Amino acid sequence: MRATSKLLTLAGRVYRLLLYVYPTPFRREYGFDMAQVFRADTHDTLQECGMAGLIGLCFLTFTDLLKTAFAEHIWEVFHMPMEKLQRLSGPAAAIGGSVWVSSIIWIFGFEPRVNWEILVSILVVVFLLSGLLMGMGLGGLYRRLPTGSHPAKRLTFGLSLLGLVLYNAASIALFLTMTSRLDEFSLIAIFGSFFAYFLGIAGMGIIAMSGRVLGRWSFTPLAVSALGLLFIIVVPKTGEAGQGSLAQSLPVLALLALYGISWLLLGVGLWSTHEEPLVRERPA
Amino acid sequence: MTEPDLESLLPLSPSVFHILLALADEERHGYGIMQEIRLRTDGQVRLVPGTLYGAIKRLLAQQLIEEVDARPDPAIDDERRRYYRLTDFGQRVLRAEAARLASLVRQAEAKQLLSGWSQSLATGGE
Repeated sequence: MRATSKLLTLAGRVYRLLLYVYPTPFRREYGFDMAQVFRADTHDTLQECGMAGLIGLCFLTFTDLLKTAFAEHIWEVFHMPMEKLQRLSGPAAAIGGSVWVSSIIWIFGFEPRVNWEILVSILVVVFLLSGLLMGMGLGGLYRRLPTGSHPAKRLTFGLSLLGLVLYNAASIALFLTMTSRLDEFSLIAIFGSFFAYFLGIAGMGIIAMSGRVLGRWSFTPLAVSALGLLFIIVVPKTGEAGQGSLAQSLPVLALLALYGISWLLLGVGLWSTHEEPLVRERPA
Repeated sequence: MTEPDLESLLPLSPSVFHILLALADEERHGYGIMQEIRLRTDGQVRLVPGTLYGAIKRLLAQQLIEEVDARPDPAIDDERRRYYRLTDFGQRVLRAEAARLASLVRQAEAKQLLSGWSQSLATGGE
C-alpha cells in the first residue's frame, strides 16, 4: 500500500514537472487544476484497474500532454498581443538571418557528405524556420510603418506575406515529392513567389526609408529585397552559364550569406527602435 | 461582449460535445466532467487533463461555458476546485449540434445503414 502511494506521488511530481512544457500563461491559469485532476484520476484508476490501468493512463496522459502543449504554443503565437509581437520581431528576424547564414555556409560552403534527400530535408527545415522568423520580422516592420490609411503599406505587406506563404508551400511540396528535378512550372511558381516576396519587402523598404522608421537601420529592408532580387536574377544565369553547382559559385554563396546578414541587421534595427513611439502620419 | 456566430462553431469536435453534454444538467469541476463522460460512454471516451483544460479554455473564450463564482463547502469538496456551467449561448450551441447529429443519424437510417446495428452491438458484432 505504501509502495503504491509512493508511486502515485512520484507520478504526480513528474506530471507537475512536465506541465512546464505548456506556455506560461496556460500553466498559470490551469496548471494547478490539471495536476489536481491527474492526481485524482491516477488514484481512482489504480483502485479500479490496478497497475496496468495506471500505466495505460500515464502513457495516454503524457502523449496527450505533448500534443496539447504544442497546440497551446501555436495558439499563444496566433493570439500574441501586438506589443509582444513588436518586441519579439527584432530578435526573430535576427535569429532568422543567423539560421539562414549558418545553414548556407554549412551546406554550400562545407558541402556535407549527406545524400540528396537529407540535404533537401535540411534545406526545407531551414526555409520554414527562417521563413517563420523572418515573417515575424516583417510583422514588426509593418507595425513600425506610418499608421493610418496607407494603402501602399497594406499592399506591400500583403504581397510579401503572400510570397512568403507561397515559397514555403513550394518548399513543403518539394520536400513531400522529394523530386530531384524541378519542372518548368515548379521553377516559375518558386521564382514567382520569391519575386512577390521581395517586391513586397522593397515596397515596405521604400516606405521605411522615407519615414526613417528604423533610424540608422532604415536601409535594411531595401537591402534585404535588393539582395533577394539579385539572387533570383543571378541563379538562373549561373545555371545557363554552366558554372556547375551553386556551391562552386562563390558570388552566389556570398550573395546568399549577405542576404541572411541583411535580415540580421534588419532584426537589429527593429530591436533597437522597438521602444520608440510608432510613427504617426501628419494630419492633412 | 458580443456572442460569436452560432453556425460558425459547428460542427463541434467530439471532446467539446462531450464536455458540453456533461455540463448540460449540472455544473461540474474538471474531474467531475471527466468522470461523467467516462461513466456515460462506458469508458469508451476518456479525456485527460491536457485535452480537457485546453477545451475548457477555448469554451470559456467562446462564451459557451462560464466559471461558477460560488465555491463548494470545504467540508464537502476541495474549495480550490473550479466549477463550470453552460451559458445560455452554450446551451443553444449544444442543442444545435445535437440536432445536426440527429439529422445525420436520420439520414443514415433512411439508407438502412443502422438496421441490425443495435442487434450487432448486443451480440458483440458476431
